Amino acid sequence: MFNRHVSENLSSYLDNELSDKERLEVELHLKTCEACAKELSQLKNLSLKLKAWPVPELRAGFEGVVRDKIVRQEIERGRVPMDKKTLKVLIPSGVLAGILLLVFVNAAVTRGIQGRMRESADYIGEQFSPQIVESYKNEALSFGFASGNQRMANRKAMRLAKAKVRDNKVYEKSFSTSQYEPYYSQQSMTESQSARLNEGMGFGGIAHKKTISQLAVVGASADKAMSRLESDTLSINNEAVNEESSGDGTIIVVQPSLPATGIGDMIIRTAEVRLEVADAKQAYAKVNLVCKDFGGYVTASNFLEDAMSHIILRIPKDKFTEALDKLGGLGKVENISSNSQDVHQQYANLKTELDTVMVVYNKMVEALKKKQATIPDVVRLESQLNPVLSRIEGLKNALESLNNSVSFTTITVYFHESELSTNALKKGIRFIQESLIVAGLNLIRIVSRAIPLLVIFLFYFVLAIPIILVAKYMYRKYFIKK
Amino acid sequence: MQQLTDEEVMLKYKQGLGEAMDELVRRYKNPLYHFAYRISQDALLAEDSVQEVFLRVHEARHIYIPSGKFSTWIFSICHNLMISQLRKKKWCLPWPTKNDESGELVEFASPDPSPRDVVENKEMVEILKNCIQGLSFLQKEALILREFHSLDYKEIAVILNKPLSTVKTLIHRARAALKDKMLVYLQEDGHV
Repeated sequence: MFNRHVSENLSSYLDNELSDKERLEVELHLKTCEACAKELSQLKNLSLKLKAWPVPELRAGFEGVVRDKIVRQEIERGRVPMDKKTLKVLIPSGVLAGILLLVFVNAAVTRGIQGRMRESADYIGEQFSPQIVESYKNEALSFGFASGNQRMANRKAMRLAKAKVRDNKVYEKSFSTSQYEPYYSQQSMTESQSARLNEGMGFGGIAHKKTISQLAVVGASADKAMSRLESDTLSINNEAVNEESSGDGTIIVVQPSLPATGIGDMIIRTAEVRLEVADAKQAYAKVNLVCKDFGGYVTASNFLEDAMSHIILRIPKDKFTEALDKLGGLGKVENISSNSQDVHQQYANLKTELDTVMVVYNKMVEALKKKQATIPDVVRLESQLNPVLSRIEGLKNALESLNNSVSFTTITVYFHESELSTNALKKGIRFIQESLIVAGLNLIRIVSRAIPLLVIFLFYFVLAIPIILVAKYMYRKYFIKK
Repeated sequence: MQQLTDEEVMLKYKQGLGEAMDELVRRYKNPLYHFAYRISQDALLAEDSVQEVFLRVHEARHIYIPSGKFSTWIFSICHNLMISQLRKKKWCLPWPTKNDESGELVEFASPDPSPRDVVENKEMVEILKNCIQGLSFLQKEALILREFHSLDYKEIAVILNKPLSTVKTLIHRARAALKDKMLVYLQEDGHV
């Protein structure tokens, strides 16, 4: 065993890395083996030679260099990762999220607006046929939008149509359950009344062309005029049909009664008042009350909540000035104009013609009374009397109409709400509230629709994290280190 | 600070004491520089490598656990850094492979063996450097750690991340190779 060379263990023996047993064996072998002893000597000599290998000294200030590098690395650690995050993760992610959000918001808002426009169109379509809207469109064009701006004309037509819908709603409400019901219910008029009125005086001739709601308003004046007409007719019938008795028999002679034709102030007065009011609905009611207080009546009216409304009043001539003052106090007066037409000559001509016809009539009646006519003669005379009587009635009606025009003045009141009225402010606030509610609902709808997409986006973002990390590693490896 | 062990100084640095790094640099700048220089035989590269070693120590301060000797840990960092630098620089040296311990030495340009031409110590050192350059990377590292840094085999095994027996073989074969190549110079000194 000791004769086996131990050259493999000589290096470990030299470094004192052998166990005690191995060391003992090597030492025993070295005492007897000259070759191994020589090799050990060469290894020791080699170590001595290696120790002679000089190494250059480190340059001075090496510690400072290391410290500076550490500080610089810390600075880069504090800045570069943030930059990388910003450049490689945050900015692309933010841009992507922003683009997605804009796309979704745009789509949702567009859909919401289209939905609202469709609802509005359906609502208007229920109220108005296309022909009616077209008529409003033509009206809008005639209002000064005829400069080729078809779009503005369309908007104006839509606004008029909406105003008409609200107008009808106001009337329906007023005549059904509103606070104005007691007042207006007394003025309601049936179509039969309208027909009677039209037949009797031609006074409400335009009334039957109005809507039912307008007829109801017109009915207020029509009722009064009709009652007056009926009483006049009864008086004519009662007074004119005289029973002329003679000794031979009874001759019935129709004796017309002449209207009071005292020639005095025969002037037809008309006036026009334009007002700016705070509340159009209240102004409408006040104008009606003024008319009633002065003993007048309303011939026509057109109420528009968002546009110019008008009421045509008939006021007794002696109350004309006083009524104008009263109406002018209902709001800010924008314009007052009046017009007078002298019908004295026309009235005198009619009266002269009536007097002439009455002379002829009286003579025919005298002849009928004096001549002891036979029954056929009486019938013939009476048939000749009829055209004369009709002419008398016509002249009498014309005089009555002229009297009416003179005795009742016509005042047309135009009124509209001011742009900054309380009512307009309330409407503006209500509009804003409705818009906010709609915006809130749209936002909720958008968010509810965007949540699944955000989840998908987060899912893909999580999948992209490894790619981002690899990119970060590559960035640090090839850019930061250099 | 100077009375503290390496591990204690490192723990101080881990706790945030900046002066501890200065102390570590003072203690290990030369050993690491010598090691890197002898491996690469390039002063600038060795200095850069040592600076990088301390930067890596700074980066790894939060995960440092004093489970072993600090010197072993910092030399292992240097060893890994040298390997990566060798791969990066593509030095004309054999790569450390599993066959390193098989004993197949790389042929290298041997200096002129004539003792007459090598009369000065400087020349001998140059020859020695060339001979060491001809060793495999792991043999060179193991021999340098043993001869110049006096580390025992266990520490070298930890640094190189190799078994103890492998380290023993690496050092033995490195010495044998050097001895064979420099046999003339060793005999000239009368150690035959």
